[in-house]
Amino acid sequence: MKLSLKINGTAREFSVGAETTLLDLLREHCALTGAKRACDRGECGACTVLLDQKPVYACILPALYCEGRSVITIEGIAPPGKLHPVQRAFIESDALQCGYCTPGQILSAVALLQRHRRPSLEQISEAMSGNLCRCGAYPKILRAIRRLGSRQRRRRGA
Amino acid sequence: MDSLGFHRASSFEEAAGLLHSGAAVLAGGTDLVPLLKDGLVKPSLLVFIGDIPGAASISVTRRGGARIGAAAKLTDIANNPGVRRLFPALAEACRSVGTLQIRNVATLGGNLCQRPRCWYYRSGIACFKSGGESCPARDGLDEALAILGGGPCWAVHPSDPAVALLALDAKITIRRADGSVRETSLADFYCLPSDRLDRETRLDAGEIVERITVPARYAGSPQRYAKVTQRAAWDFALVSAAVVWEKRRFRPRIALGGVAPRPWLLDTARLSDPPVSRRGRDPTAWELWAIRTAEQALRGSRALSSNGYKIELAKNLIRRTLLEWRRV
Ligand SMILES: Cc1cc2nc3c(=O)[nH]c(=O)nc-3n(C[C@H](O)[C@H](O)[C@H](O)COP(=O)(O)OP(=O)(O)OC[C@H]3O[C@@H](n4cnc5c(N)ncnc54)[C@H](O)[C@@H]3O)c2cc1C
Ligand code: SF4
Ligand code: FES
Ligand code: FES
Repeated sequence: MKLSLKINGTAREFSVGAETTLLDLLREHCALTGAKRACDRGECGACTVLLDQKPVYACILPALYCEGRSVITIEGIAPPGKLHPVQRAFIESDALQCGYCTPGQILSAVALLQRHRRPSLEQISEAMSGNLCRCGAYPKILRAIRRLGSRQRRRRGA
Repeated sequence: MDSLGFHRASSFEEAAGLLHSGAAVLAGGTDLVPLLKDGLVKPSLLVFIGDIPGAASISVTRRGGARIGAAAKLTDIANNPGVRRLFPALAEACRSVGTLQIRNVATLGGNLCQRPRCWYYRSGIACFKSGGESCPARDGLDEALAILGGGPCWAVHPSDPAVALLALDAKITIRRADGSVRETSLADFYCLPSDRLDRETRLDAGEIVERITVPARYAGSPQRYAKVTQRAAWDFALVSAAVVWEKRRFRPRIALGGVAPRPWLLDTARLSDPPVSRRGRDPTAWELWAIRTAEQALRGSRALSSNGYKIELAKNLIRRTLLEWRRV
């Protein structure tokens, strides 16, 4: 079936079957391998992407669900060669070990900071608890997000 | 799975008309896609209802209650100001589901119709649910199974929102294949394994949930949804409870989750009246009443070899929740 959607800002067209997930589409048809396939059943968050700015699990989302919508993957959050502030904060805070969960963690954090410029601890844990980290980098992931929150606050002169 | 068809429905009428045998409704797919991947369902056609105009609408008024389209997303229900103000038990139940990524896609209709999470069934082990002749969980790892209403299948119903909606006496509007509409209470929507084993609802072939209505009677009444899980996020309820107070008669409607193959409504007639007098509430009398109510609520429950903890957990959860109204 025909499918048109925007991926990282570019309008694309595909022909896919009903069983194709958004993760299949990104990894197999678009060579966008930033979204990871780990559990492949909605139980880890490694495949998190933004669909119309909201984090979703690409591994259990039918690609055809995304008709006419906009998908942002980790490859699309900053211009080529540049880093998004959340990516920089993750590096500065050393918020990763193996890195497998990191694209998903970053996208969840990007969406959170779009919703709340200065997220509370409760808002952070609600937004981030759908992303598991087998390496247990949670304290540093939390630190990266909190630093960004307070930096955004300073920049806005609050 | 190669020949799996996909149809984007433009109305519920059209969708219901397509639900011949072999077709399945697709809403958010958060339950259906894993079931497809595991080969537990093998439809030939997916009828997608997410793009039906108005299917995701949420309208809430104090006098009219809530009207929620079957394809409304759990995030949108949990964040809806009207739902939060007038039906906080429903907002809390929706917020307690899985994770943000799940709630951003999962719909209310899909949540009510989701299949049981029994580990045996989901692993493809033959059992009553999958057309087999036994219940391996009953004789095996039974700690997640039902303490009420079980047999021959003992898998509990996994939905949180259904428990809140049951306490709120919600109604379900169902569209049939011939285009006609029927309405049923949520209490009559679900059935027990002793009634039927192929599904958990009384939906017939060719029927589709179109809308969920919460009556105005409980709008703004004191209410809560409380859920006990093994881990703080991303988990199904071990036991959950929704308590909704009837405003006029001041009696609680209590529904339990995680304890039975369907969301479980307590028979209010079997519960003692709360100790309220003109002069207000005596905290000690209230506490004694809460303990008594919890005991009455679990009467008739039965433990298997290792799920007895759920009985105590449910009693404590009911008592603890009722204690929140100890003082006016
Ligand atoms: C990791 C994870 C954690 C979860 N945790 C929880 C939890 O804590 N609490 C909880 O309540 N749930 C939980 N869930 C379940 C989740 O809430 C459901 O999968 C979701 O609500 C289903 O909605 P959907 O729109 O994705 O439905 P779909 O997957 O599209 O459909 C589910 C089923 O319902 C049928 N269906 C869908 N819509 C209709 C309709 N309108 N009429 C008739 N039939 C219909 C489909 O054919 C299918 O059989 C969890 C799921 C996952 C993957
Ligand atoms: S509890 Fe139900 S679903 Fe689980 S193994 Fe037994 S019959 Fe199957
Ligand atoms: S790979 Fe999608 S949630 Fe784990
Ligand atoms: S850094 Fe390894 S899983 Fe998170």
